[in-house]
Amino acid sequence: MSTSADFDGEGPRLIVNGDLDAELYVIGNDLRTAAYGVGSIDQRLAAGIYKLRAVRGGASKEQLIEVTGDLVEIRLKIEKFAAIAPIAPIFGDKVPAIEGFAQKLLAAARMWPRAGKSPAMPWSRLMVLGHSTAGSEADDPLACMRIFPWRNIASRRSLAAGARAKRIGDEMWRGSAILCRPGTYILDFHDGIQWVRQAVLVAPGWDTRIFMRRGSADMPGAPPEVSIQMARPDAPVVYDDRYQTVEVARRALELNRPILVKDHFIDNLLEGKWSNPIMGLTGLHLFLEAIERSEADPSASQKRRVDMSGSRIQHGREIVREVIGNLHKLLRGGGARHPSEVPDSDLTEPVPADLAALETRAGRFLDAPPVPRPALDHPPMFWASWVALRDAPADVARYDVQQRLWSETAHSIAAGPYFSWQARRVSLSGYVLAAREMAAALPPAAASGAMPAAAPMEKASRAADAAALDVPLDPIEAEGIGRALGIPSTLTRFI
Amino acid sequence: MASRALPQARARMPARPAPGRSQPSARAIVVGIGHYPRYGAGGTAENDLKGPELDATMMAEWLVEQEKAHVTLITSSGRSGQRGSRNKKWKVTDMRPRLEDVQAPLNGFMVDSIDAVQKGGKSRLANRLYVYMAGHGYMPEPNHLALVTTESINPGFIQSIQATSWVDWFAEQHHFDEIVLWMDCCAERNYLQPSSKPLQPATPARQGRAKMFVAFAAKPSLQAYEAPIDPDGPVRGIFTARLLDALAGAATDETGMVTSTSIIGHLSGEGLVGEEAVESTAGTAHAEHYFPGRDLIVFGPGKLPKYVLKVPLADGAKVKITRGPVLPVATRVVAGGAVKVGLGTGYYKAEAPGFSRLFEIAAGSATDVDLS
Repeated sequence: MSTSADFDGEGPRLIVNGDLDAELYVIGNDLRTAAYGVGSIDQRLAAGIYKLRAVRGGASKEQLIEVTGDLVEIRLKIEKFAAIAPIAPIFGDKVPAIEGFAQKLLAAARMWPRAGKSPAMPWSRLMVLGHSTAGSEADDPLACMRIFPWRNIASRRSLAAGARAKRIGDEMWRGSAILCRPGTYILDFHDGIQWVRQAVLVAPGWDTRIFMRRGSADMPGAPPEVSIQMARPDAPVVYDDRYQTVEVARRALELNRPILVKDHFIDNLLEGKWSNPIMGLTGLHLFLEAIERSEADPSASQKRRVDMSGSRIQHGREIVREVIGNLHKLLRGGGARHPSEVPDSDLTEPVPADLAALETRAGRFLDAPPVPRPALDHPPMFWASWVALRDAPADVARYDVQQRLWSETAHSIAAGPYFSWQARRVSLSGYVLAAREMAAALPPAAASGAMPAAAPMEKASRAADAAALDVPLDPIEAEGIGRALGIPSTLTRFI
Repeated sequence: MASRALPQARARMPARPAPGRSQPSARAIVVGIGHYPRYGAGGTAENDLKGPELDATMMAEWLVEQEKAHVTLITSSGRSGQRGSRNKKWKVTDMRPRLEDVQAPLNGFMVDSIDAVQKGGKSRLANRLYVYMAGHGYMPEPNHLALVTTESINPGFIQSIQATSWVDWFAEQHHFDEIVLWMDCCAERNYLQPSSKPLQPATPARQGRAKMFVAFAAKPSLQAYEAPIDPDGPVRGIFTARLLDALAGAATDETGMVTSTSIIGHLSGEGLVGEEAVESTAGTAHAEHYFPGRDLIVFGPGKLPKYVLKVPLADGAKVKITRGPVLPVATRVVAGGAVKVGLGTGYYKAEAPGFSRLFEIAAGSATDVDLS
């Protein structure tokens, strides 16, 4: 029997060509992955029957093949996947109508909030563009949504109010655009039960473009899917095929999967930051993920896949430092100018939380953490960013996540790739106490004292009984509690 | 609302081993919550599921009969097999099992381990821990799934146990060498509140984590489904029904064993026929299952299910079935336009003079596989 597991390397050559940002798997009859690649595979395999699987942007395609002879060449492409941002190849002949509608929205952008406006202030555009296949009012992609500057809910603005609408094909498109001060904004959605929030970054010199889609009629009240992107103000809204990667990367972060780390994919994302800094943020998260995986214990029982060249990983330090430096200039005042043209004096905006998170995650490639650590008091957009900030050990953290920030975002989840939280403030001590009470449930009989006479626990020593009853109530080091409950290490001293 | 009668599977469950006797090879906590009296609209309506109780009971039976496991079974009808307490039946109005009912046996493992150490024994309780949970669920964060418990009142009071965090904690301890977590729950992300997690301090690190096989009914953000598996049969969770089929032998690999790898292959397969590329059916009732933990765990030899392969050949023709050029499986004579053969999960080729067809056997395969 010849399987991928005992293959001697002298079998037929299999070449699989897929989309450049698609994951490709070749699964052998032992049901293990015999070959893996991003974009393409070129490998010799034992002769046999295999299943090919291509995965791209959440869609997948499969095919059975028989690998015999000297060479088998297969093309396996995925043209359609669930994109939220408008991508030309996916939206086909609707592209001119979508582009025209979006450009009208951008041209009509008005200043907001009006209070405190000053001609000297830099203003950036923020556009919200939603689409939905359902037709009812309740399925309006912008329904029950509002936006406001971080911690300034008094100036909230309903997204549906004043939005323009246009039916394009079988979808209803609605949107609006505003001119606003750079900073962190909050997208606020009411699902019929609670207000759910997520952060949106508006940077000087860039349009922030929020795309939404709602179309699942069987899940009423479900929040719309969101894709947050940035663009130069003169850039078209519909992405051409070169930028399909932005949606694939969003899905990669959403699934939190160890994927999509081949050189050209990362290059595409990191280069793409010049036209969309979101690509730089997602690309750097994925690049760091690849480096972390490549350094993981090779004997770990669950091998993590990396499809990136060794030289790229070896030069990780230089790449990371350069990308972080460039993102500072792109997002904190330089706009779309080349970094060499941006003096440090132009970097007037605070460090975006996602960039702070990337610095934290890449800390070992950077200079020593600043002392004292700068405070971080605004939320990131991406869940991966929040995890990096949250889980950094105290001696590695480069920013002090403020207690107030945690208190306002404690009830959080990953909504797609984004950090999302319930609009409710909690105290650190109250949160920990509630969690300890929840975890303190004992076997009902023990808890009620109604222990059966023959119960083994009664036969145990007093110490064992005490230990048993005290198991959930033992003094626990604050760091352990913090780790278990998702409390940043910089706050565990307050537990 | 009537409560589904709980089959008397627990009567056959092995008792906890007496002190000094050998441990069972596996411990198991099996939870199936079908009744949610106040989890519906406005907190006043029920939001019941039809499959979880039966699914849990069938899973418990498999664990007892095939794995010889000591099983704690907790369903909407009652609880059995738990240390320190008698079997108990619940009424719907009791709104149980509550969070503490589900959490108690997990805490109970720690108590058992402490007891054992106090008596001079080892902290290890068994080779393998099985945790199976079915009911309403949600995904609080990537790769973590929480089971909603019965006392939850929609929308303001949602109690849940994040089973993934519990097994992660046990994976770092000495109680078990292998951990299996199966959850037949939705993986939507629509509740933003804490779920029960273990807050116990870690014991001194073991030499590497326990091996983990973790399988969810649905991928992140997707729903799990239940439906009658047979036209006149009871409603069951599709994931659990497929999983139990896989364990019974449908996921037998080419070596004759059912393993975590072969189960993943089986549950992920759509039953392809031919060499055309096929788009995935993601998002349909055959929702894509999700496998966050993929360590190799062996469940034992499988019994091959029989498939009827319909072929465009005259009766009397011989069909050769292989798993590749060096792995013949069977040769059958066509009768009534078909051949019948026992097959495990994998990729096959059916061949006869003038006829050749590749096909996949997996969870998506019907009993009758049309190769024409």
